[in-house]
Amino acid sequence: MPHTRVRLSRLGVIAACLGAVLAGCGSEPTAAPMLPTASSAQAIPTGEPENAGRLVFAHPEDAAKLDPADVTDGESLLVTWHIYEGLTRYQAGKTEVEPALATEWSVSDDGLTWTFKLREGVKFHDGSAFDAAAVVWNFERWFDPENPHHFKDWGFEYWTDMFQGFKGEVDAEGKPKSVFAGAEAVDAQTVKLTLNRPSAPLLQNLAMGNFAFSSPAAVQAAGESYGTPDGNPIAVGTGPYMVDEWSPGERIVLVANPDYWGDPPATGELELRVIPDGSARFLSLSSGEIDGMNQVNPEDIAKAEADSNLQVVLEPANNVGYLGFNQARAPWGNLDCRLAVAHAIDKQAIVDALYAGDAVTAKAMMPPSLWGYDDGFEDYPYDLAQAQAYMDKCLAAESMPAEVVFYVPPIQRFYFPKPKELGELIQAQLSQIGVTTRIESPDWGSLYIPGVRTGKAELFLLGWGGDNGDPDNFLCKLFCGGSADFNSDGQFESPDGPAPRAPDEALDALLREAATLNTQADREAKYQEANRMIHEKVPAVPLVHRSPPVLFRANVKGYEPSPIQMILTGVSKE
Amino acid sequence: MTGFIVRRIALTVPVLLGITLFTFAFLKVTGDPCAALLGERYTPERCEQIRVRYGLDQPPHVQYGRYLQTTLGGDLGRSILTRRPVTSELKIVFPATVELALAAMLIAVCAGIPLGVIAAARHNSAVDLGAMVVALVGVSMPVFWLGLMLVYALAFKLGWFPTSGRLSAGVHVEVVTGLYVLDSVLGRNWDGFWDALHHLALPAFALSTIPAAIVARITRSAMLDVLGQDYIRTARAKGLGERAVIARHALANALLPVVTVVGLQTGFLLSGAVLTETIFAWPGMGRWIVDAISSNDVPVVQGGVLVFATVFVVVNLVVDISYAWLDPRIRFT
Repeated sequence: MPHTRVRLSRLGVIAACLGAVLAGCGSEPTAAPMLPTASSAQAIPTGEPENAGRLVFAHPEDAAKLDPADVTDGESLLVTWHIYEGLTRYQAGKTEVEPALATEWSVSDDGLTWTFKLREGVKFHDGSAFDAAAVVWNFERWFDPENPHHFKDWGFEYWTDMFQGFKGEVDAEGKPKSVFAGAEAVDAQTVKLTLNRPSAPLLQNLAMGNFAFSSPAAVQAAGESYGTPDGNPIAVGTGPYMVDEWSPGERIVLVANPDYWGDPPATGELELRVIPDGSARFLSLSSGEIDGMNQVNPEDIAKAEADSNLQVVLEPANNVGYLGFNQARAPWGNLDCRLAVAHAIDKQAIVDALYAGDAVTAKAMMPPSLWGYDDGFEDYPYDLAQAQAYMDKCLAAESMPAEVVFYVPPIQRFYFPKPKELGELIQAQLSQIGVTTRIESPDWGSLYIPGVRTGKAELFLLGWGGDNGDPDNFLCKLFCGGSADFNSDGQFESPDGPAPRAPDEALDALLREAATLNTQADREAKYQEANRMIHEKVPAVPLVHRSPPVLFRANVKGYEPSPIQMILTGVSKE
Repeated sequence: MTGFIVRRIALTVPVLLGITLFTFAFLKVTGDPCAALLGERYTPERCEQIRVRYGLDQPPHVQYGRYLQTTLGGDLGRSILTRRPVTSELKIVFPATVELALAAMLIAVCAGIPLGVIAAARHNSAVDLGAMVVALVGVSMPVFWLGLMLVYALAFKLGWFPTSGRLSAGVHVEVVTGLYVLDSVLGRNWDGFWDALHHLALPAFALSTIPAAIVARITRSAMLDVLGQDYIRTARAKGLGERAVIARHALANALLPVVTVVGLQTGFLLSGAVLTETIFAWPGMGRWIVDAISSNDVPVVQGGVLVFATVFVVVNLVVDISYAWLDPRIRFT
């Protein structure tokens, strides 16, 4: 802890003045009720703060909540990865899964029944046993809207994303929407999951932070406060760390779980500190007040590389940023027009100008870190002559609007750190082949994506970050029948939008088949074929894969960069 | 006086109702939270599910009626993002803002009034010019830039202050009011007191520069008005020393407009200081409500705006009442 009383004495008069007057204010009634915070519930007056055995990692926003089943933001998952575990987990630094709370599993020939053997001797942080009953209890809580702990108003958004529906929901044909049908405890250490239809990504999904298990007793005790700073307890899993303190908006402190079944954490205490401003966060790291940080301002990466006290770690990219075409709007239904744009975009110039060495050009709509990526085809080269030739063919068949509506995100996304500049650069590149665009940046929170999905944009910048390390989560998410970004699938949702085009049945069928095959080798071949098909049809121009930088002090060791999770359990200071 | 106060309090009811109606209508126009919640995962179907879940599919008058009903019962709803009751979040962010605002206003008053008095007493001198230049710099300096410079110079380079937060890691304060400096004194936790004060100093100073400059300029102009009055000439003619003239006769009479400005500035500061709070990672109202606006977290925005409005109404009321206390000529009937 760098701050001492000796230094404090320099505050002199100001300190005394502030203290005296604020103390004087104490007799006045305050304008709002002031009750104890979560931190005060465990308040312990202490002496000088001690940093020994404590790793301080700063991020820009506090966790929204610590019930993993109901979070969607990376800031919350950064914390919950350390508290909770699921049946499977991602291998360190990879997207492939390995056993976690399940030690082994098997699947029936029809792909509808999965049987998991559970790890023995595992306990939740509150001392209750992790067993088949706890697993079933969690699944029922997530799946059944009538379950008393599937709290009203809670979204369980990722359950909907990965399992496609809740209990009782049916599609237009009366079939259950949900992939998941039910969970059953065969014995204390064996669980059987039943599916309504085969789901090849199941093991990948179960490794997601959202499907990690909470202690049933803890959820029952805390009720709707579970996972919030008001909860008693706040969050109880089986993971390597336990919640010690949550000062909302300031920090969450985790302490090592002494009864953890696996390797104990390398550092006894892990503090996730909130520092919203990127520059202030970087200054805190430079001064040694914190040990690591994420969400780095692009201009700070070079400074960190030049500072011998700091180290820069790039996470493997798990995203794609792309330029999308609305194929229902002329002339973008014409392949020649899309090919003209594909050849007119100088991706390397984009990466060089707008990224700080933390991105690579993309040729596919999924990142190279995922299996199923096909490296066997060449990207469309930046070639203005070729672009113009395609554009001439395009204009022979189609008419180009005087101004093409081009949606550019008004705020940073993790794949586009400088969206405004990116939009202007692409606008300039397209003008070289005679395409005049009008940049529009409607409000991200309410209008941008609805605008894309209802056909208001003709060209648009958007991206996707992977959830579960499965190619299905990229390719089917973007191109299966339910997705409307590219309006190539006949799914336009807006009644006043342009006429829908025929669905791309071949691609849709290929991706859906790939999601039902049981062996990874079979699936890999299908996704490679899908990648080639997407490359040929050019529904979008993939632009970049960004590797998010993470900074640490030079004395920090043991961090394993990963495309899909940020886990600090093995990290310590020398 | 009592009648005046009762009348003023009664007037706050339509004001606050108007605010709730305006906020509600404004949020209706700016869209609903589903797109912000879903981000890239947005689909119209998912959006509709969220609308139904939060009752946003109901007719506007039904939604407004329900909002008013629950608000009158003291329930500001739950944050869509964190699912916590808005009142629970307010209990954290409001005291943080109060602590920062009071400390900043204290610095502003301690610096601004003497600066204004000295400038007026030495009217048209180099001291006057210097004081007003300082005030001009104070009022024109962007808080965001000043905050970063303070962090860079005093925290990063010199290491005198922490860069962010309200308390150091491992330091705990038993929370009573939520004002950590005060709470640590109440709990006789002197390590906590010094640590909280240490964290408070830089953001409070950064936040104080603009109100200090405004207070200094208003004090100077009010003092100049008063110093030209006949009774000041009389006091000097009677042989009173200049210090006594300024301190006893001029300053007391010049304080009236200063009180108004201090009151209004306190109201502004109590509404949160989003830039200062962002730079110094201070978990106050400003950051809280800006985050809520960017994610269209309707209950938080509605609750936060209602609290802002109430703070302003109360501060204005207090300012008006303080007139009577400061100036016996003013009679409220």
